[in-house]
Amino acid sequence: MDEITTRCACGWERTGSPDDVVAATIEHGERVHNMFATREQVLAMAIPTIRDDVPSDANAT
Amino acid sequence: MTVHGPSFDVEGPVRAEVFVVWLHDGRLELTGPCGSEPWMLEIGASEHPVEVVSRIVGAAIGKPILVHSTSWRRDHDAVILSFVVVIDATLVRSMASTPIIRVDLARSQAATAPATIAFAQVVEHGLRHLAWLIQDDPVVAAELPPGWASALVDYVPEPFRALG
Repeated sequence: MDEITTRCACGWERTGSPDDVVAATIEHGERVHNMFATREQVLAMAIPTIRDDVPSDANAT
Repeated sequence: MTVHGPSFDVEGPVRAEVFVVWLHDGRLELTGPCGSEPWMLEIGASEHPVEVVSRIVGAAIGKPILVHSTSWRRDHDAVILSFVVVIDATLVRSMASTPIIRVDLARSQAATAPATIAFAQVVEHGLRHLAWLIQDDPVVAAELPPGWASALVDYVPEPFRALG
């Protein structure tokens, strides 16, 4: 499954599966910033994670 | 890992900016769940700012010694209420912490706000406000642990004021 990342302006960020990232982001927003976000709002701000350790031609044969 | 794109940020017409301060070997330091970066809280339309700050600090860090609003300013589409929150050293644990440096204040003109206000200037004013409270407010004087009076002695006491 593709990983996604969310990043808060305070420096906190989470990378992982969409379910994990959505849950962690909603929890962080509520606990640390008194913000209440929906799954859709989190996913709208999430970005695909690009792994530096995976060569761009990793799938080449 | 590389992350591209925007980050999410606290929104809303009223926000709280929290400066969590503690006494470390007689020296004032800034900490919090965002380290020494400004810690922003969203204030809902029906919420009281002091209640929100006390509740969120309690949940994220632990019971504060003192929660006090020290200034306000306009920042783009929001009003920012600045709070100084004093915590006990035992609550800092693994949070990043940075010594507070002295800076000149951002001064208003007679009828206009300062053109720019740096984060450190808001902290400076917050501690000057605390220096005023410790002399003027018996509750604050009683709540602040030993050592705070001497840590604040070099701060020129100032009451609450608008920074912008």
